[in-house]
Amino acid sequence: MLWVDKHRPSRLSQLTYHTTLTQRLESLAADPGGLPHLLFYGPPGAGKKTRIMSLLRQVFGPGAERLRLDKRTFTTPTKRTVDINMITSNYHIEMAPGDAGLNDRFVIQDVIKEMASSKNIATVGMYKEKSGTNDDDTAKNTKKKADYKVVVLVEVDKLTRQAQAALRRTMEKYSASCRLILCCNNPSKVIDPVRSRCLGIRVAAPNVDEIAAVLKVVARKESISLPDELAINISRESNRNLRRALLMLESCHVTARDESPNALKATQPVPHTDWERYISQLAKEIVKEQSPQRLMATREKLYELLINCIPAQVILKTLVMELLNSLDDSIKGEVITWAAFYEHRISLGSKEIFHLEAFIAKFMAIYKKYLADLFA
Amino acid sequence: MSTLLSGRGRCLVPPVNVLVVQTPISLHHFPLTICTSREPIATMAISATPWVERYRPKDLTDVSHQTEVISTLKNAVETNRLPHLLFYGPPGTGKTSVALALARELFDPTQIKRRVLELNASDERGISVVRDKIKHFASLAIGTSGSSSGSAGIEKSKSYFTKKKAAAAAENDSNDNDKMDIDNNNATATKKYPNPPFKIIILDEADTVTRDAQAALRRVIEAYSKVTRFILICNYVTRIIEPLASRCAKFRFQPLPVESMKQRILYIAHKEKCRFEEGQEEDVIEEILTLSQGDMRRAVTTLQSAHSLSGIVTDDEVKREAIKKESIAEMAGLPPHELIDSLIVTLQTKAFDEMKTQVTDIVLEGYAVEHVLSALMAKIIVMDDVTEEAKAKIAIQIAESDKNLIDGSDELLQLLMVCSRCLECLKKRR
Repeated sequence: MLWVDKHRPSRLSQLTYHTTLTQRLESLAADPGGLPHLLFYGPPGAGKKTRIMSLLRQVFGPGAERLRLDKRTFTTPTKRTVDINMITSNYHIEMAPGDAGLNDRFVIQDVIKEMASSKNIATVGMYKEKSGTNDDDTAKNTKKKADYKVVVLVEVDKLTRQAQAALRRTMEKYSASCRLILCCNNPSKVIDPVRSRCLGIRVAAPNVDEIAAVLKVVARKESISLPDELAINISRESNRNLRRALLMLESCHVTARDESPNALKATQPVPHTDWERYISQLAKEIVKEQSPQRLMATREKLYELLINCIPAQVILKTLVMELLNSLDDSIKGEVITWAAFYEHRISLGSKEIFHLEAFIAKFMAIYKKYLADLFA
Repeated sequence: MSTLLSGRGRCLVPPVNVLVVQTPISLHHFPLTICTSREPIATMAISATPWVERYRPKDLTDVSHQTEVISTLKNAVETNRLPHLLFYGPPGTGKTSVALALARELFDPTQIKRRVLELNASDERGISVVRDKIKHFASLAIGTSGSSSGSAGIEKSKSYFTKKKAAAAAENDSNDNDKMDIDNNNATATKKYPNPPFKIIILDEADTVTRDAQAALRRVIEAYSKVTRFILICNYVTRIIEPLASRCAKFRFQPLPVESMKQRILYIAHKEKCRFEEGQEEDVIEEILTLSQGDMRRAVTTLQSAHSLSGIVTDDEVKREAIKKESIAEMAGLPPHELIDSLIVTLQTKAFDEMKTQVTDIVLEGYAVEHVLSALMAKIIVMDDVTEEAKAKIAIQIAESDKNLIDGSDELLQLLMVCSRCLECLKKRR
């Protein structure tokens, strides 16, 4: 099992950073009857899912952790069938309706209505029996019980407008027997009427120190010695993404395992992915020489990246960030403006390579002019 | 035999307390959980419904602010002359509430189920539904008006069928019907409902109905106007096709002014025993109202969120802390003022790289860039020491990125673009 999953906290009390947020979630869980619909949002790798799962555990007890994988088939009115994978426990269903593509509306209408129209009676008997034997955090909840089910929808920002519209009245109508927990990266992609029905919970990315602290804890659990410098280094490189930091730590460990199985050196290089190295090399070449020949040479590299399934938007963004490091302030604004312009074009157009090349050509022109002015 | 069975089956129809028995799947060794279906739902509804539902206006007089609409509708109710209605206006102004309240005003509680059909975007509403479900419901005739059972006509036609086949079973049947009618009469004796001789179809979120389906509705509305009234509800009246709109009486719902919202919010806050810091009550509520921009539902949800998150778990019970003004923006999912202020300071005084780090942080903190942009715009527009030209340039840039964001562009790049433009414009000034 990967360390990311192995050491994922499963209780609210085990969460390390964002203490005020944890406190709020605890106060929500303390009164399960009054739990509103929730909308978790924040950048990837910030811990949204972890918090949702721990909240569910707090509300429903350990039964919420007994998960199984279900595959459901839905039939649209046009007689097309859609398969959706979902993770369920006795108390909740978790799914990504976005997987159904344009048919996500039917999935939402079906599942939520089905979930919502029956009540969760299982919880009533549950607490009376379990409270005595279990650890104290569930015992607190014995007095008030949650007699509803929870539908966790992930990636709601990827849902079509129709699907989001379908959520509107359903959320109100069935709020007594069914609560929704929505999870997304970008809350502005969720339509207003849905947002105004939810309690928004922002999960910010952890900062460098918080990530380093988590890394140290994980290293201790794996009985590996982790020097402070390396921990800080990894968390800087991870771009405040905890999941990425943990994966990096594990790959550090794997590379160093042959020499010293239980200790990492402070000087250990933080591993980067191939494509990142490739792009930074590309950036260096572009800054070094601006000519049609160089432009032709970059085409090969861009194709290489695209063939390896690196999304064009990611290539462009990483490239710009690399380029910005070696530029003078006077032209940074212009470069950013054009990068944003071509990135927008990529999302509108269909042939990505054109826009990537256009950006590089544009950058070369700007940079050459800047150099010419400088020496003139 | 079959007729006998059907006759017996019908006896079960009147809703008595049905026993619901369910065994939890994984907990086979536990005693069966038995409860009557009515009580738990009723008690739970009180504790578990969101405040938005709990404080939804119960009748027309309860609705805040929309006086013009209400007086017209009341008049219509009294004179029993109700046209088809089209409600439009921004979210959270009470459109659905008014429609539901109107239905409750018109029919007595036992009738509502039969007389009112509510369809919203969560239901399938393609052209086939208009052709089948709506048309079917709209075309059903109602029995005698007044307080007698609304579907008596249908019931009787069915019992007529059974009578033909087995007289004994049918006798049982009609006896039951009579009993039900008596029940209904008892229920309505306390309050008089007009129970006008038509049914109501509420089409909520009508702007998401396809054009084809709307076209199919045109004739349906007219053909059955004797027995059915339509209430269309939508945010954007332009999305309703003209022929359909012209068949209805249009009512525009205005965003609620601060004053009337304040009353209601104060009332709810009082009822729910929200705690505020000494003398801060007015301030907190003002903050909620400015952030919700005339959207009542948003204001209520924000208040509830602020209230439920102010709790702190101590050993055994939940203690409520006072609601703080600073936490309100966070509850509403909007970037706090301090964030925008510090960004503007950076834009005025710092270099590109520092701006870049701050912008990256904002995105990583999880704030939605679109909201940051609109908040930034609101602040820059009222700044005194910025030239008109600079403001115009920034406004153009913000407008452009807003559009790009809707097209699905990367948030970080767009915000960086806007901020680098602001950097130029705000710098030149000095």
